[in-house]
Amino acid sequence: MIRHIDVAVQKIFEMKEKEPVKFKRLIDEGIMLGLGVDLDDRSKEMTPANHIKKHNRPKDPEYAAVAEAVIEGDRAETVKLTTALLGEGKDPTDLVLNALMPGIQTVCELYDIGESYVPEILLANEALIGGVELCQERIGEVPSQGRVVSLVIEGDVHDIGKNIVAAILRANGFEVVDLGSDITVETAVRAVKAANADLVTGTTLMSTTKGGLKALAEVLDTEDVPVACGGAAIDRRFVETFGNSVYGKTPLDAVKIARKVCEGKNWKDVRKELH
Amino acid sequence: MDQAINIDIGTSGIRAQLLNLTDSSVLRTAILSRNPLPGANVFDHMDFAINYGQGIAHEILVSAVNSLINNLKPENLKRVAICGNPIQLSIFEGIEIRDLAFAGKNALEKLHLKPPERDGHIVPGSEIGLCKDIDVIIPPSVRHEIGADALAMMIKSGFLDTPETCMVTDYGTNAEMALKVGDRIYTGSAAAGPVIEGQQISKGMLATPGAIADLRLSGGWQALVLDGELRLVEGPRINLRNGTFKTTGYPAKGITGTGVISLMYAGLVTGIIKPPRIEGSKILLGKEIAFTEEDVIEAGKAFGALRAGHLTLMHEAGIEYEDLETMYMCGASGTYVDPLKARFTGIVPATPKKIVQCGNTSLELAKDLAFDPDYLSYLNEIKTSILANHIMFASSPIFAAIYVQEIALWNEGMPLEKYNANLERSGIQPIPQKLQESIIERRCERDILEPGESLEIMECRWNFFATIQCSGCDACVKGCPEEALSREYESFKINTEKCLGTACRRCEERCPEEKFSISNFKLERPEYAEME
Repeated sequence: MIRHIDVAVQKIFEMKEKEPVKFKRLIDEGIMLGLGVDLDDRSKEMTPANHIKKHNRPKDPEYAAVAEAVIEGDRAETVKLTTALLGEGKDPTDLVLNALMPGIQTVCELYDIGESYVPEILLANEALIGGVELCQERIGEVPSQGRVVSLVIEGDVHDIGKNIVAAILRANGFEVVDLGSDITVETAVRAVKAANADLVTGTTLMSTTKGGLKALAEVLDTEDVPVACGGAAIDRRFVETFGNSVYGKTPLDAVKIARKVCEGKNWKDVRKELH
Repeated sequence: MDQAINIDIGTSGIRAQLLNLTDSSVLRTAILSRNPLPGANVFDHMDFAINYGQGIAHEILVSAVNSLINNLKPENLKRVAICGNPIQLSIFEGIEIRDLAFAGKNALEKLHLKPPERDGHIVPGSEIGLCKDIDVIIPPSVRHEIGADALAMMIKSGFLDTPETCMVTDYGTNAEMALKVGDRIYTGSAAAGPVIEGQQISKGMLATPGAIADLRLSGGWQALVLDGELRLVEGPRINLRNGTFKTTGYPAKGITGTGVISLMYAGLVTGIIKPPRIEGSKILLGKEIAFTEEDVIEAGKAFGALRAGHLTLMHEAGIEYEDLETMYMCGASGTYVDPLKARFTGIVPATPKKIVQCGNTSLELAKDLAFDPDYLSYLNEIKTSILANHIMFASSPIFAAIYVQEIALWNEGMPLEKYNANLERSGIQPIPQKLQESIIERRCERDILEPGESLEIMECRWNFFATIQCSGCDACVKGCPEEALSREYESFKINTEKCLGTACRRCEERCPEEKFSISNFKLERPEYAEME
């Protein structure tokens, strides 16, 4: 036995001579183990993405499964799980706030740090809508940060940008009434009144149709509902040629505008803060 | 000797040729290197026409065509045949364009417009504002985004004649494309934007002297620049390690669409460009010529629109990438670009066994019409059958599903694996990662197949004038991104071809005294005498 220890010590000294770096690491690890630190855990350091997922994950495992289905953008699975939970008698409002929303919230936070991309937000949004619709059938109205009407203005049908804006607004807790594309001023005004909306987002890709946004903002001035304008044909200079409007370059700008408007700020103040 | 003229009115330039009708030869060619209408794309042109009067837009375009005709010095001119997209042709002819300006039905219904026929027809020159006693031959248009130029690309490339599964694209601002499978033809038009023609890039320019049009990868990067005769010669050498350049060779002023494709290829291959980022945030190509990260995003939008368009057509036709036999590339950019580099960036599908570069097919179709006006009846006959399966990308859910992946790929740096995984979830075939060995056939040295004995490149001289009494601070002049605006005392001048039009208006915005208004500018009558 003693002989063996002699051999071991000799080996250790040899190693100290030949491989000082490895020697030091092993000594350090030995000390750490002696102090009761689990080294396995240290190698699995929390990445920001894992942190976001963990932080948003619902405690209840059944709710966590719903959130996961939304993150995966799996509409069928989301609908299946939500239906089952509603069948069990779970509160629909609670489901929206604590199972469905944490899923989309996770995707959006991942997007903010560059770990998720627009197509995934759109898929997660589809899944979210599937679940929320089921809950809405039970309760009629779901609590939200505010209500936004989204549209592509009359004469234009390019709706990719509008869809992204609507998805990201929903993900951030706003209720979105998506009117679609080629929407006349009259239709938009009717929808704004019917929904009692706080804000309209209007987009267009073609320079020939941008005048419609101006007309819409001017008509909605009397309703005190501002229009957030964006899209390839729109820029800040154009938006500043008329009132009751705010310019947004990215979908995240739409969220900023919506937050400020729903806090009760008027379009002039929002412009001042964002333009 | 009876003569005729064929003209291609493009969104970023007009080309005209003088033809000898006796022996069917090309005598001379003259080119306007920009479209004289203010604006960078056809929607800006339309917006200008609608807001400032279709009459003014018509007058500008006709003046430009007249100056090209004068430059060609025809004798015994019998007829002029033109080709181009429906919007340019309608502005040129001076007919209604508002029905082309809107994509949705609601705006159209409100206007109570009866869209003009737009069948191929012949009008007397005097009716349009060209010389008397000539016929003007105007080929058919089908709908707002597809017209005679799309017919030209299908007819003149050989696309219609081959029995194989093949695709054709006119690489321009508004990229028309078509796919043929058996007897069925699928068409579409991707708003690629002016990037493909070198515009909308911070130092982008059209293919004129001083433009970087290609790059050679060896050690550093060797820029190839167009010289005074539009030949590719060596320009600055770019040292990527230090972010510097050596001003050797022909001096560079900017970069063309094909240059952007070459640069993106070089950046992607070497890893210097990882969309949307550039290592070191920009690539210096010469004195005050930088390619920026915003440019990567702009280029990505255009490349993405082309690839998404091609894949949408294949999806609608129900074919796979591997089924593609031949790809025909038309237009100046389609002719001059290195097809292998283009394929690497995604604007040419990865799989065709043969790639054919065809030159300017629009000008060629106009030439056929100038020689034989009866050809019009054939075009009128085939137009509906050829364009029966037209896919409007703006309202196609398939195009949207693909284009969203392109946005994420170029703007957000989404990996291609995710792109493909997302497509497969939507039931769309993935983009092949392996590029097919292709045979390349370049039919012509230049985009203009037969320039004749001379080729002259002209600049526009149409200006807007206004007299404004102000302090003369020149904030407006300095604010113009295109150097289109100049001032002499109280007289202000806007060069219409350089002006970005209603989409820009930076001059108005910059004026501290709020006296500058584009609405006060009047068109100067061009002086033909000067041209002769």
